[in-house]
Amino acid sequence: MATHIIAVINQKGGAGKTTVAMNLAAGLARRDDTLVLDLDPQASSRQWASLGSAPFPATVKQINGKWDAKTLHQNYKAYRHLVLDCPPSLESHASLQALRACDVALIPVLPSPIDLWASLRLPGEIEEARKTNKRLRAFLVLNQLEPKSALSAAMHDAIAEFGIPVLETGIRRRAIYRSAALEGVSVYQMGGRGALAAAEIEAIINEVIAS
Amino acid sequence: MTNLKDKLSASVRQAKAEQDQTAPKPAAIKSATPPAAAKKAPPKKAAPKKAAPKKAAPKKAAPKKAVTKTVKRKPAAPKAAKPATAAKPATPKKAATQSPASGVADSGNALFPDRVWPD
Repeated sequence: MATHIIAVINQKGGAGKTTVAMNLAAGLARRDDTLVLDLDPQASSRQWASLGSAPFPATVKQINGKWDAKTLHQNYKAYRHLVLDCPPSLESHASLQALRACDVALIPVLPSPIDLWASLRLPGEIEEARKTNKRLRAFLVLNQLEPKSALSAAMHDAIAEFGIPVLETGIRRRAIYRSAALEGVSVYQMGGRGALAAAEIEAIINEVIAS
Repeated sequence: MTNLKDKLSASVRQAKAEQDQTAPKPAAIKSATPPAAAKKAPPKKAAPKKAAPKKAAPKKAAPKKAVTKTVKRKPAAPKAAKPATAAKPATPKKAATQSPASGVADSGNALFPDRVWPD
């Protein structure tokens, strides 16, 4: 079975790419062998996985140097799922190759106008990547939603301006995501405290896989 | 609420429009980059040449080692300066000795402070 590649990408830093990538990978690892490829020179994913007292459910590796979609499929065909944690730059080799290699581009966006404005280049880049990667599908996922905030509620309409489908499931702002990172585990491993967060991630996985 | 939605959507549309105004230029540059980059290649070669002197400048940093040498020399200079600084306070002292005696150095007031001098 071919490896299914999900790139978690956004040119804006602090959008929650690593948090989404790591928890998504943990959820996928409950189903099949999953690898997180940390493409960000900051190596936050690798750092995250190295902190845990318990082993992280997915394997986490960092790629350095030049690579392309072909080498990605060849080198990691043992894994069913590959989650690419991209750097916060669309100009980087890693981001461009990730868009060319992936089946799904998952774009976390914070419910803030500044984050919306900063992410506006993405639709164009995805269109560009589709010229070489026909199977590429992209989804926006709202991250750090605050249910009582009017701005968070208004985001669903505003984000439609991007012309990229938005996942129905949004990720709420929860301290448990940060706590899990600190403990080097996923929200799935946080017991009852992580149950709501894990349910969100499960819903996202189901949406992405079912789509 | 609807006001907020409209504002947010309008801000995104405006940012998008602004980006579209500027984006075609980079896109055009991108499409034109292969020849342009090829044309620019020689100046790039020239640029490193220009950079080479810049690298030479850091080599001039070797003189910075000399600067460090001069820094080493500096301690020697303070040694020379120490007597100068010692001499400098000496001059104010002279001025100080001059002023109480109203211009007469080593006057009787200085030599015999307890003595009462007749008018």
